[in-house]
Amino acid sequence: MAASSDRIPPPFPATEEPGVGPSDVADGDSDEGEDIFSNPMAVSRGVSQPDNVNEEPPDLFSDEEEASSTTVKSNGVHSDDDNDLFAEAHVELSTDTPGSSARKEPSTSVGPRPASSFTRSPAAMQPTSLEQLEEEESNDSFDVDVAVTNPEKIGDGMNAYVAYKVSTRTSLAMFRSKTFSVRRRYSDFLGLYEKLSVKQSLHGCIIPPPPEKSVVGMTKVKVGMDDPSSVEFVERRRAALERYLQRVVSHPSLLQDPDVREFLEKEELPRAVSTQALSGAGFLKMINKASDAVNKMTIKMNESDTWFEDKFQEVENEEQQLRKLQAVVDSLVNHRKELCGSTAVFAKSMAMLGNSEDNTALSRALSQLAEVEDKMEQLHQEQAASDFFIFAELLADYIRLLGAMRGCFDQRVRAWQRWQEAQSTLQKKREAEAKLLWANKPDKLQQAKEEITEWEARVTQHERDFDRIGMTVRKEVLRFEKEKAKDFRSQIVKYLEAMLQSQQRLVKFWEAFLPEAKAIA
Amino acid sequence: MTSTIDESNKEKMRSVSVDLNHDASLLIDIPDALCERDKVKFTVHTKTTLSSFQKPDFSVPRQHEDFIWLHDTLVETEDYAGLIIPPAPPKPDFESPREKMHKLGEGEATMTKEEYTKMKQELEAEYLAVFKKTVQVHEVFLQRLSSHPNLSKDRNFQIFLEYDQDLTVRRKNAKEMFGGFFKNMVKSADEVLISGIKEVDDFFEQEKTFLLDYYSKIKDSTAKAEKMTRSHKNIADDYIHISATLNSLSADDSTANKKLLEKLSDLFEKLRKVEGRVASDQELKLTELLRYYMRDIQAAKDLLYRRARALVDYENSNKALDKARLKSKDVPQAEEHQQQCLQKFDKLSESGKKELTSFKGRRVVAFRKNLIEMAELEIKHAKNNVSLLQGCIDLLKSI
Repeated sequence: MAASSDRIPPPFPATEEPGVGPSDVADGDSDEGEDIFSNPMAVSRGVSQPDNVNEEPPDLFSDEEEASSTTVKSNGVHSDDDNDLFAEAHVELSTDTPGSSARKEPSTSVGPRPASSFTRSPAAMQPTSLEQLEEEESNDSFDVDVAVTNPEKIGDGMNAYVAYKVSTRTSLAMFRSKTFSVRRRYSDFLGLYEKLSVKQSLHGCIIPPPPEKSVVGMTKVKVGMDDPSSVEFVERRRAALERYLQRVVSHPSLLQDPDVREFLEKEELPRAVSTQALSGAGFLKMINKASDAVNKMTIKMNESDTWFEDKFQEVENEEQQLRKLQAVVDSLVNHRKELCGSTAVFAKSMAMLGNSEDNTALSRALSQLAEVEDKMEQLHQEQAASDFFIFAELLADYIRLLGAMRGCFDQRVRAWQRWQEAQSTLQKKREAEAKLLWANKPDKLQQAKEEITEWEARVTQHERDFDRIGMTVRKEVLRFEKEKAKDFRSQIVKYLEAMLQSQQRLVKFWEAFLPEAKAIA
Repeated sequence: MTSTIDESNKEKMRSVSVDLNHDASLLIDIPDALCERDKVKFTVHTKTTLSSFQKPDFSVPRQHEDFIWLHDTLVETEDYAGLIIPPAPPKPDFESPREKMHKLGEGEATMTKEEYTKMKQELEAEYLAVFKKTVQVHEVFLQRLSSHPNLSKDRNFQIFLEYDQDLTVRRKNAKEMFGGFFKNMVKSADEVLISGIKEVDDFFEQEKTFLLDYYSKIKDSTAKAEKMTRSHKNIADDYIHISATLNSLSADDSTANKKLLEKLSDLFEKLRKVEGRVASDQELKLTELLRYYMRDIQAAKDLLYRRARALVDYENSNKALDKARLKSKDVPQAEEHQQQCLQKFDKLSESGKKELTSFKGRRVVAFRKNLIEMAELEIKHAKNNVSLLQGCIDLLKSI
């Protein structure tokens, strides 16, 4: 964190953007990843470079560790301690290229720029090669830490909900202060996602998805928060919400979105009603989703760039395999829990046997064995929690993220479709003009010519947008893959380290038992 | 499927009983066994210096039912009423691996070829383990007989070892003669009788209390230990699937994640082998130990029962004598009968005491040996896991 504290990012432009609807693509939305701004601190590199971000994936799940000593599960409802929130839960700041002096500012902005400032054509934005893209990715870092803690049940009965504390620590000037926190509920997180999806997905960004809704889980919580499955549900959701936010703030474009800022900063958020399943907005969404699906089916995209096709296939395969793996890991978690249970029961039985035993030394040894098995049960429980909260959740996250990625590819296909539709409309207009020419109606002809010009511009715009999205998608995919590799590595290492410690403790327990067994006479 | 057990494996297997087969005058082992569908054919091999046998070195084929016949005839023999008859070996039970094999066959389509092969290997290993265990258990039964001063001289035992024809005919005759009557009686009435009797001897009073209580506890522990071992096996199986899926992911991956997935897949493959061994060692050292001594304690309880019955007989004969004296009729017969009962009871008590004391010692020694071995194996496997995990972690950190 120290590394970036002396950098001051440029002040965020005052123009707030209203929600951008799907039809507004032609308004010249700013592009992600373009260096449009002219802050003197920016190091110019000739042709403007796409903005690059590459951070270490946030230290996921570290909150659990500090809140509980032995078992993750015991990270109960009220047990988080405030002081250490950010000790580990931060977006790590480091650059992959040490000694790089060219610290670029995060300079993307979201929202409609006046079309005039948007002078450069997409073509000039393209990096000369994919390798250059990758290199440039390695230079940036952000200075925002978020944590989600202190789940608290508010209210009673079926209207109850859980409020989480969302704390931010930052040195970015675009925020009002350096550390602050707000209380948010799950539907707020979901609302943020919906807003971002609507705005950002048009540009080809991969929007991290939050954890799914769960009627069953929430009902249990509403009824009472004390049983272990409720505690587990709340903890799982809390950790998933934290990772969700961390992914959002570590994405350079998303961080600039005013909705994100509002989410982190504003005291009271209006209730996100569009997330309610049966509301009017909900129905509208369902219909849109359905029509999109149909749309996709009728126009098959004629792919000029096989990269996209190959990648899409890869993503689909990977998602399938991850689901398979998730199922097996779930089975592992269950078997591990069973082992806990059967070990505990066995330990009790062994203790009883030890009591019955009339040979004193053997009786003692059997009692000791019962104690060792009790300790083993504890180890198995911790291992099961680790299997679940680290391994299984990692897989769940990436299954969701791959889904988001597929959505991103879909956006590109839609951009292509719009372009094609514009082209066919232009064609029709031209045909109409030709007819008018032949029929010799000069006044209508003028109008026709104007329309043709208009549509020609539209076609060009759509083509540019399509190329631009293509580029963004490519960039996003690369960024995502890098993040994923880092994320997997850090999580798997964490998982294995936990397993290692568990086995080391196992050795100690049995080594302590051995002399007892040898003492039997 | 034919399976052969070699010497080194036999040594390892002889785990639950101790001090057997050291007397060179009569050495018995089961060097070979064949498994045909459900039936297991054991080759019982005897080496002896005793003149009571026709040859010094010979082998015969025997089935499980032959062992049961031998056990039952020994139990029914009056002369051995004061001895703990070694428990009969349990019937070979391949139900569990067979069922799993069936399930595997049904699920074949959902797995990769590699995964299926690995699962099949695991099951074959499990099948082999069950097989080895049943051979061991039958062998130990015979060895306990051969090392017992009285039982080793039993005529039926000799027939069992030597008779080179099929024992089936003999088995049928025996069943007709005894009808398994005594055995059935023992099973149903023993608790009531043993606990109901007024004990005259402190030693037996204590033994009775202890054995009844211990039996129920050890039976419970055996069942719980079995469940624990099954859970371990399930986890080992899960590791196979995890390893296989990671392998598929790695094969299709073109990003930086590829190597990580590959290494992780290797690790899980190795971990599952260790986990499998943890499960089977626990089974052998702990579960088998408990199971064996549960059966042995049942045999000790049977001894107590027989003695209790002899006491009842003696008391009844006393009453009969009193009645005869009252009626002055058939007094000498009654007296003789009473004497016989008394003698029988005393003989049972004396030999019973000896048997129970040596049983205690045997049990403690066996527990000690197995608990030590189990602890050592647990440590070994955990250390193995530690080094595997550390190796993988170092590898992943360097990717």
